[in-house]
Amino acid sequence: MDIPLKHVIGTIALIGLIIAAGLSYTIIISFIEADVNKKQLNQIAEHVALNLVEIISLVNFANYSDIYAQMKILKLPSDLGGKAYTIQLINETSQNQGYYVQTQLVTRKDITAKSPIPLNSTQTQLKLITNEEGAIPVRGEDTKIIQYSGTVYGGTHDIVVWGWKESLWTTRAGIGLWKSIGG
Amino acid sequence: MHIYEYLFTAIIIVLILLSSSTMIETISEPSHSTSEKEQLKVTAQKIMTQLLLDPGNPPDWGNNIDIDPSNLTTFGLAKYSETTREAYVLDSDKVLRLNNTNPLFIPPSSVINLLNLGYEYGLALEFYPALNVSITKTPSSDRYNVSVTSDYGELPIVLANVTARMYYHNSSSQTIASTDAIFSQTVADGKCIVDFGNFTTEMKILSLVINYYGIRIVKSFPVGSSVTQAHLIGNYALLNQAYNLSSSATEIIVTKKGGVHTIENVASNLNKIEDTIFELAYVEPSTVAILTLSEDGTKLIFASKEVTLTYSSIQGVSLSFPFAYSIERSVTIGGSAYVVRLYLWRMSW
Repeated sequence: MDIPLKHVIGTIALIGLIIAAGLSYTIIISFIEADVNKKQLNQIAEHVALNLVEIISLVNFANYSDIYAQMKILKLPSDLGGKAYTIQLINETSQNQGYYVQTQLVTRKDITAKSPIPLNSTQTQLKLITNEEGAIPVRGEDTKIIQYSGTVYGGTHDIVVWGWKESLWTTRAGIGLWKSIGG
Repeated sequence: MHIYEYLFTAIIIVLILLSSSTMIETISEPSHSTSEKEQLKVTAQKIMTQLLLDPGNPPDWGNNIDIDPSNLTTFGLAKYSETTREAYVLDSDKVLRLNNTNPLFIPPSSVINLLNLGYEYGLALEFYPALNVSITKTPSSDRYNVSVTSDYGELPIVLANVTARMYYHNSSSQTIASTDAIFSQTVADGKCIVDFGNFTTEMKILSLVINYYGIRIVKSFPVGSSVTQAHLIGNYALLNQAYNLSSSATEIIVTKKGGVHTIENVASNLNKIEDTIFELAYVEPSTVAILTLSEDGTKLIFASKEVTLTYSSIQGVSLSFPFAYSIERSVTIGGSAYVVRLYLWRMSW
């Protein structure tokens, strides 16, 4: 069977075009998906930052020091369309960026969002915990404790924002997990 | 198949790709827009919480005239106290420093920077009394029609208790004198009349306290033409131009006796610090305004703690931002009820 050359070229060109169209479509979808993810991350970052500012205000209202922290459990999505994400508290005061909450997809570090915390200095009486880990108790709770850290995974249950009036001059605050002691 | 058929098929494939991409973007656009607005709302709540519940750092930045924007490390307007604190009680000195006519004005760029908003957001703040109070003077007489209306819809406020007192320059004794307080109540149209007779001097002010079931509003109106406005920050009177002032001042204070608000005054001394800065020996916590005379006795200098103002990161733009999210809270400033409205918008979407 004789097939003219022009048919061979035409068929190959069409197949190439179909593949290119498929790829373009995938790229566009991926771009839109990334945009949606970024917006969701932005909302989560804003929500965490708002609750952090509120808990700091609440703790600062008490003009006395305490050995216990105040905290609020946040209701956050466990994943974003099946993708895990992290929440970080970042201190970039040295680079004039101040403190901010950053959320990021675990699998795609380029998809990230941040929400500034309206506190701009390390000279304030507030110390935001950005790169330490530890535990702090909450009044009236013997079985659970706040395990604080500068980074928490979004999929984890009981993510909290906490604040602690350590002394009359120092308030500590951050993010962490509300966990069973020893768990 | 002809070459045209291949081309036609190719065009159809490209058209399908383009139309489906456009459709996907169009479909997702409303949810994007909602998401952006929702995010702006949360950001506005965060900023409002910081502004109204945090005293800032140093906490006495309002009344300490040595503190300028470069010394501020955190921005907040809440009143600071070593012992007790109340939510949504603002420091009048801090709010007054947002007035652009005040020599100790804190520029919006500093506030944006202190709130860590970078170049992403713009903001505007409005402070206004919870009730609108206005006066109409009867010509050639010191008889005033006081009108009290609601903030929303200008509805008349009925049965609001009004206390009024006039302070004026007594030319024979060259001092600041006052009338007795007049007590009245608004009627069905939200109005009442306070009549002080007739004072020929142009150096006079009318002080009013309105109490409507616990909502207190203090207003002072310069009702003469020879009254010069100054600024009262902490223990300092700040003038916009140099004056030689009398060494004595009258502080107008609002007190509550037997459940009734009354307007009284106490005397204080003024010391010149600079040509435009004078220090008061003592300022009563309930002081709402101060009065003093220029040394030549031709001007009545009046500085009030009233805080009706608009503060915007875009200078000269009226508060109408189509893409802004606004949020408002009821607050207390210097014992009076105010409304604070925050407008927040993105500089780019």
